[in-house]
Amino acid sequence: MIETTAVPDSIADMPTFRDFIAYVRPKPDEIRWLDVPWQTDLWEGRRLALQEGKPIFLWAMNGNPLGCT
Amino acid sequence: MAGRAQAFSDPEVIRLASEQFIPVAENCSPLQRQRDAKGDFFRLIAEQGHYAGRTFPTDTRQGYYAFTADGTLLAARNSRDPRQMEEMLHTALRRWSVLADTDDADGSAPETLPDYAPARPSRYPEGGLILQLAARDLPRAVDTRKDDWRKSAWNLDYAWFSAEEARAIVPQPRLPGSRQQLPREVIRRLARFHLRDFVRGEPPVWPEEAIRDAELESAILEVAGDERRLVRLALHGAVRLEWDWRWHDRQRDEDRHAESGFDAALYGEATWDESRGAFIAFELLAAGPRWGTGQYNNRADDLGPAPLGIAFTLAGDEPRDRTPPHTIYHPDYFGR
Repeated sequence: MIETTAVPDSIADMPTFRDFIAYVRPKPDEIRWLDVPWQTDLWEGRRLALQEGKPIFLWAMNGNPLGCT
Repeated sequence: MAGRAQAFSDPEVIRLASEQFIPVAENCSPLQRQRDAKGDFFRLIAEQGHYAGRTFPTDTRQGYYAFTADGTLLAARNSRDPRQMEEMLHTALRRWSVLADTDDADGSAPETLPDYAPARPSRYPEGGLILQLAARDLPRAVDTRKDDWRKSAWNLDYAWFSAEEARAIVPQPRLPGSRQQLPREVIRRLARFHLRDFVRGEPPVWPEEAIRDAELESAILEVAGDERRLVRLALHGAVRLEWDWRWHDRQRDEDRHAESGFDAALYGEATWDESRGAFIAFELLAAGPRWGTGQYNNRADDLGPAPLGIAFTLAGDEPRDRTPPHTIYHPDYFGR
């Protein structure tokens, strides 16, 4: 079995769990694509496109582009 | 993730996508295969696009597509280059303008959609606890990672819990000092489905047997607000996961296996609003060493042990916050 410790010394200068959370969460420059008001369902997007008279822009990835990919 | 940031680094791409189109983001892995009207519609679009007919090296249809609601492709591309993205969107708008004039003349544009019976109905837990997850490597004392995307990698996901499961996180009686273990099902879902090392990829769900230890306690710190409706909780626990993964490497045509694990300490705080029957704040950190590799986590060059952090925070109310968890259609997600 590999010996491990729960929190390594190298991050001991982050005093609270909120500091860790702030470090882990994406920074504004990393998530500019979330400024786009994405729909998450192609069928709903198709319905809205008809309703609003607009074309559809689909971002398709293996894995969800807005989630884990 | 760096690719996503790069493709949308041009504000004009964001403006065009937001204002001139109905923007949709969806996982194409199921869309390429699902047998229902939405799957048929996606395939109609994709087979007009950049990967039409492709089967090698993969059959992926991922990329960017602009099209009409009746299924006419306007433009398609799979590029992270923001200039190519902008060019593609402008091309689509020019073609849209021409088509719109034609459709107005002959009245052929559909006005409503046919009924749609999804092959995979949404599992979204209305009124439940919806958390957004972020995963990233934590700083290392000795860092041997290559100075490329692997060093700056991070990823997102979502976690879903029912309204009943959310309520059961709050200890009874609702008094300062009350404490309890979270419901077993909540801890199990966190451990198996959400304490995966997904910083660089999409690893599979931990099997039940991989859970070596799993505890998560909630304790009431304070009861406040009008009619004492706000219950502030501390969350504290530990989860240890270990497994010897086995898979078949199709490119090398050989069976492979690799051990991996995650020894996570969990800390957090949350506020439950009794009048709403919902959490109005939720922050939970899982942090500790991960080690080893697996089939889809891209860690073959980074076996560790090395520190990993996964942050769970309350999701918002935008349509994008209904993005499903990566493993939502696993049969055990909402219990065995």
